Amino acid sequence: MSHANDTAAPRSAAPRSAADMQSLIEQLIVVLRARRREAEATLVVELQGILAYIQGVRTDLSQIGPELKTHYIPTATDELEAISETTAAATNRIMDAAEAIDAMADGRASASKEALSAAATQIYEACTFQDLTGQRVRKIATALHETEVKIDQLIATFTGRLGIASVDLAAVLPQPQPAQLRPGQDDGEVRACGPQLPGIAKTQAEIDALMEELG
Amino acid sequence: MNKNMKILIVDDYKTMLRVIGNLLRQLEFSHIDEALDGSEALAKLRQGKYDLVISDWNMEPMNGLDLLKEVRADPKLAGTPFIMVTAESKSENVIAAKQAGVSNYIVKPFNAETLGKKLATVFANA
Repeated sequence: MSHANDTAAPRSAAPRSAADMQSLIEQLIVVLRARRREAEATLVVELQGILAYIQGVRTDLSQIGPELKTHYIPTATDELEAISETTAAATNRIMDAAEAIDAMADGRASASKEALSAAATQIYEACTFQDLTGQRVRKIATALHETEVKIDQLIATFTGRLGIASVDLAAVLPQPQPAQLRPGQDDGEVRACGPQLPGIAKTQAEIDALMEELG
Repeated sequence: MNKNMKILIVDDYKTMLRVIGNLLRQLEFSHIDEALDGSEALAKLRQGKYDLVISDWNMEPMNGLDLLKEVRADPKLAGTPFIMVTAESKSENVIAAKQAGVSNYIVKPFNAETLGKKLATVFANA
């Protein structure tokens, strides 16, 4: 017995959005239920699960208010920029003081000269935090921007604004372009990723061992 | 080690230029010049004679690795000792720098003692 007529409707309806996809799945469930085949009962359950999932995602996305894009993300970006500027200004003031201490050392007797110079060195060394903090802040800002882009893409996909002609996952799910590759992502080139987290980052001793090993 | 050598520091963070410059002055080096990225550094290197380059990796438009490759590819600059001072501590970064001909590799944050030791090692091997 042929079921060509049973499946004709879903095949001819080219889904254009998540709503169309939902409609298609609902039609498919009706068709499969009508056939009352035991083997297809599991498929119906699976399709119902997918249906519930799509509905859940649509509900979640509909609850993302415009203020996320117009207020929260720009505010967070501004705050990050302010962190960079404030720490840079503070570091420069600390450096000014350290350089003054260093200059004072020049006219002193040997013991106090050494002590002042050592104190200035420790301040200089500590000031490297600003570079690392700046790089970490830059990584967060990049992640924030990527999140914003992905949310936009998801909303467009699940509200049908992309105008998808057929259910083609490769077309529905945005593929990363070379320009969108994250730092460190593999496109055959070693990239700068910024500082790693403490505990993960290699120590100078480990770097030295690797350099030694490389010859 | 010749304390009169001319050193070019390359970093896009002015604070880091200042930190490294001060640490070098404490190590009694006095001929120190600065550049904010690889392309500015390359222009300076081609204009004047430098005895050492100390460069960050993560800079724009030209990063430290590309600067290193340009230096090694230029017959007039190829022999210039080049120390990478960077927060990039992944093995693949160290390997890429080594393959490009880096003289030594310092991971941030670092201290004056490490900088002094690396300078001594580079010039002992030069």
